[in-house]
Amino acid sequence: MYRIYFKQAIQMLRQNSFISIISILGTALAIMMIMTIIVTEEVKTFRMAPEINRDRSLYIMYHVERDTTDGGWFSGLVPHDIVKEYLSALKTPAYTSFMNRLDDLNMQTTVNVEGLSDYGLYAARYVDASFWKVFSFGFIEGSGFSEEEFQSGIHHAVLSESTAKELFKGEKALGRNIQIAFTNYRVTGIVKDVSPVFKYAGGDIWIPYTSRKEGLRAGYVLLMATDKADFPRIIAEIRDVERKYAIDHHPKTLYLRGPENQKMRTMDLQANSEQEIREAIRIKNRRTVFVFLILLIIPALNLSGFSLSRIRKRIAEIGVRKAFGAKKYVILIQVLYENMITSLVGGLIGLILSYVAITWLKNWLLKVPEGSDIPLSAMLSPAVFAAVFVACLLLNLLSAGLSALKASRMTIVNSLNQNDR
Amino acid sequence: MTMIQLEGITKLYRTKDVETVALEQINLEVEEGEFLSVMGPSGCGKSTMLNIMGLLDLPNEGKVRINGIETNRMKDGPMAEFRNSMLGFVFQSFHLINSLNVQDNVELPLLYRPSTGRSRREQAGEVLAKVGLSHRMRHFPSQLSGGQCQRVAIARAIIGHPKIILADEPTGNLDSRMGEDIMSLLHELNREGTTIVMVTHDEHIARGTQRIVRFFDGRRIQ
Ligand SMILES: Nc1ncnc2c1ncn2[C@@H]1O[C@H](COP(=O)(O)OP(=O)(O)OP(=O)(O)O)[C@@H](O)[C@H]1O
Ligand SMILES: [Mg+2]
Repeated sequence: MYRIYFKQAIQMLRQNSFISIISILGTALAIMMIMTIIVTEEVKTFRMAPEINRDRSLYIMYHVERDTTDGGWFSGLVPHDIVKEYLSALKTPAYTSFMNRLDDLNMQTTVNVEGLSDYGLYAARYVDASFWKVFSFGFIEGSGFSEEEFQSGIHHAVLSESTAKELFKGEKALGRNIQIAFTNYRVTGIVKDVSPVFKYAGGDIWIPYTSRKEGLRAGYVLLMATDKADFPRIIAEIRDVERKYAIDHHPKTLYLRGPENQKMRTMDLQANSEQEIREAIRIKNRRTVFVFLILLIIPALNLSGFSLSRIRKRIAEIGVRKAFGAKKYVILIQVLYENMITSLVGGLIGLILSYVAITWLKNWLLKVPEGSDIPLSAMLSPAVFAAVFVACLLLNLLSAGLSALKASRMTIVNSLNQNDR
Repeated sequence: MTMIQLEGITKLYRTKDVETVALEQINLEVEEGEFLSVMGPSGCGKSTMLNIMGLLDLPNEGKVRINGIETNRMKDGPMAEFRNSMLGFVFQSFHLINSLNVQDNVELPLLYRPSTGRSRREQAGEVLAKVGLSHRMRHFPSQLSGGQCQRVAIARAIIGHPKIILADEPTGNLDSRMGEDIMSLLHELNREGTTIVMVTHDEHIARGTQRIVRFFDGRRIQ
């Protein structure tokens, strides 16, 4: 039966080639749009060098400290004291790294090379030794610094390739002296450039924060698990830390936001407590569903015009089928099945188009830095196919459902006479 | 035994300002195995009556009983099965499906009952041979002449071995020789026990059948 429907559907596509092409293209573009949006979101969680451990990293970006006696509170980046006293002692994470926030230009640092280049502003990242374990930098020369060197507050600096070129005018930079914030450092490593898109690894210059007089008062904490299955245990440990802090610092309490995984990070959640973060996630998810519904409904409305005109042409056929014994629901299934073929063909084309679009636009739309690729496996995953299939199904039901239902319920004589009432 | 029984059938068509009485208080009984001709001028309600008999349309008043079964209150499912097994239609304007080839058009009634693709193909081959169209199985309706379309429509009506065939001018589009062939086919089916109700304008053809009823202006006059 379905084989015959299929044959007929293909025949009809050929007989109504213009409308068919338009509606297939309509579906294809809708799917492409949806896919591109999904990938734009997903790409933020893909593992890309140097942030190759995104899938097993958790982040604490924010803390709240409350005074339970007077209701006073203090919030912001994670203070160094908490990292030192509590977070560095965590048992589950493979590495705990602490780094400065480096989001905008006014966080840049004055850098110069005596006798060679004048003062310039560069993005300096103040990091610890774990930083080099958590991220995978492409070292061209030299290396990062060890835990011992970090503890000793050594004045070593790692420069990005283009920063080194600029500051040393193309001369060899490794082993030379450089002034960062008017303090002497020695260049001990040169790495391939890292795009500022990388919120935690990116920068022009990397130095141990112990080398700075003021150290690093507050920053981001990255907890890298051996396996992401450890996430719940790490989160539980953080909650323990909060309880311990409350006892140690009575009457003060501590909230460490998250720790958030990469996915949550991309949502950019604002929250001052566990409860608020749950609420924020719920709102975000609801908004996502809403956006996708709109993204489906608009093309569905457009496509429903085509479905309707295709069904109109077939009112008489539906009458004939019923006259020879087709039940209403059988008609409904057939119409939706045929429409689904169009949708799926469109969906497949849309998928291919989205790959083309994503590959093309990845630099400026997705801000995937030059040189790193979106893994093809991420775009060809079963989850993506399932999403496209569901999108096609919904598109199909939304665009053809109503007219199919109406057509299947007409009386036979009216259908035969094409009385579209 | 009475195969078809129309009892007090009235059918009205209402458009914006006019009301057409297509059928008025029609009573008619067709016996099992009968071959009945329906005659009358254009617009007198012949097709309307055939549609009501075939459960394709509902009357405003009256009852339709087929094979002793009251059809008025049947649900969609049983009604569809009933049509599929009991009734075969030859429509005045063929109503072939343009996106299906001849073979698939003819197989249509079998699609709505348990059957295998192979048995459907075999049966389609048989009935198409009967109407002399074996060589056109893969053609599409648009590639056939009017007479050929009519014969496909007849093949489709008889493939499912219905107890009743309702034919609206089955010879209307055929030349006289082909018309005679079709009539002898219908007579053969009738001999095998099929009840046939046929609308025709051709007095000569009607005389060949067992009984003629005549309509005028929505009323039965004979
Ligand atoms: N859907 C409809 N809406 C309004 N009036 C209709 C409709 N169908 C049929 N009629 C009217 O009902 C009357 C009977 O029509 P019907 O088709 O039964 O005639 P007929 O006897 O089959 O004619 P013909 O020999 O030309 O086929 C006609 O006056 C026709 O105009
Ligand atoms: Mg008629």
